[in-house]
Amino acid sequence: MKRFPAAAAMMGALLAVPPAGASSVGAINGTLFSGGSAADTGARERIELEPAGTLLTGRARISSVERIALLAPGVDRGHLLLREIELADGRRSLLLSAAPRIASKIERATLFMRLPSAHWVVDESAGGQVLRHVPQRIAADAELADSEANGELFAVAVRGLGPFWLLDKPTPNAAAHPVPAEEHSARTLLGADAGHAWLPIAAALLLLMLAHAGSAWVHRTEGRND
Amino acid sequence: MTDAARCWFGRLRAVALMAAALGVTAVPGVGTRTAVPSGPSFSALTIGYHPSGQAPSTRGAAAAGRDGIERDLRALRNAGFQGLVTYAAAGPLGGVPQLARELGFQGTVIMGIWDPLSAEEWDQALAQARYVDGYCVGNEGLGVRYPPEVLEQRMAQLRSATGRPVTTSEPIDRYLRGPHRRWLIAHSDWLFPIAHPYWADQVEPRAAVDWLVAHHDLLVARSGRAVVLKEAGVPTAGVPGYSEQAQVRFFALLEQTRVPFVHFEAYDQPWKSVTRGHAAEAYWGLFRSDGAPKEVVSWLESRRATR
Repeated sequence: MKRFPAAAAMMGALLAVPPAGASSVGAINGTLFSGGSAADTGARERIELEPAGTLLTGRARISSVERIALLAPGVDRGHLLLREIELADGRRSLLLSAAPRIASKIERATLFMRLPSAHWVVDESAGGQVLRHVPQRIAADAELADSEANGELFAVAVRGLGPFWLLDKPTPNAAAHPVPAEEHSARTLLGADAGHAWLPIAAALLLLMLAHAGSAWVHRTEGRND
Repeated sequence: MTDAARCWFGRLRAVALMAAALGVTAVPGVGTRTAVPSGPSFSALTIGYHPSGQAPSTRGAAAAGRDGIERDLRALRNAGFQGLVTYAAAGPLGGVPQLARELGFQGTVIMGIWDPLSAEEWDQALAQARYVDGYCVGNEGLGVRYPPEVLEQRMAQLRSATGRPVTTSEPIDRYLRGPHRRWLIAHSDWLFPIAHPYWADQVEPRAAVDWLVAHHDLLVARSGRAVVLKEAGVPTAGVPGYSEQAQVRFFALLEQTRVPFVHFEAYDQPWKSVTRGHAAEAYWGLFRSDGAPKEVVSWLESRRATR
């Protein structure tokens, strides 16, 4: 490669730039839901799912959700996309989505969350209605628990993926919350899943051609030297 | 090596590198699957059984009569149960797995050994090996009735002697915190915790089921192990807010979650309210202590008829 600095640089650049959504823990800050105010803040994260016993489980790093456990028979691996936005008035919204091959198999989901207090509730938008969940507090040893605070987790068993609201001071009418646009396709959200394979494939083909040309050139050069 | 061979070897290496790069970056879902620990399957309707009126200690178990046990098992079988979990192996309880098979229980049968050091229970448990799918040695006694070292040894011996999976049971909180949580996960062939939302003040059936699901899923996620709730149930009397209707609602909701569990328990146990000093303890049964079925049995039968 010393003879091809330009090609080496191009190869390095191609391999160094990850395709969209391919990082194990990615975060994009900025306004995510249309119609939000300028003071709203948001985060987006890709959660890798690993098999654990009869479930799939994944850990989040930057959002209110610390871990998620899914019952999705027939799925042994994959990823979720988690978008979280905190509105200027303190409300938080979550949007959990996955590729259809995963989302369609989910029979149960449990969110394990970091919440500032036990007074929070989680409203789930499902089937055109809003379901209110009171998180279950679970005490686990600090070294086992992911929470650094006091070893307490708050768990909510929900029907599936989709939009959620986290509320500190619940309104009596749960249905009054605006529901974030529901988008279950990870590929649409982040260009993830099968779609993001095209860039590495194209890069690989280009590299293959370069390698072929290089080896042919080396062969011809060595032939002349002999 | 000739020039041509060197040339083709170099090209082959380049192609292999490209393929490796593609494999790493472009094929989602490919990887090594973590092996799911083996344990019995609990797909069939399974219930925790101990004769009514008898404490599972060796002396109490020995007092249960074979005829009474057979009558109990027939009632459970008629209610649709295919699997059975027992608590002790002394006296006539030592023959329950064989009797259950003879009466048509085709699901998973887990034989319990109440006292890990009881020679009588040990011998009868070994004799029943061909009828059982697994053993549960001890029940809510780790570090209290028996030390971990003793239990570990007995579990290993039983595993070796029968070739069956072996576990023990403790309240689910002990699998998440406390001095024995690592021991429990390390030494159980499958995790078989006792989980009662009643003791967590979860009265309403939906909240009780949410509590169970949350604890089950957290334990699975943390341990990576198969977890079956050995005792999942609610009382039907003895305290305000509980009823036979609420028990039906609880089991209906719990079944919808697909959390693997064992119905707790077959018969009301009046002695528990006396020895444990809590009225609700006596009324966890799906049948009353006199053998009369509660509403949940009718629900189970009607549900079976519609399937």
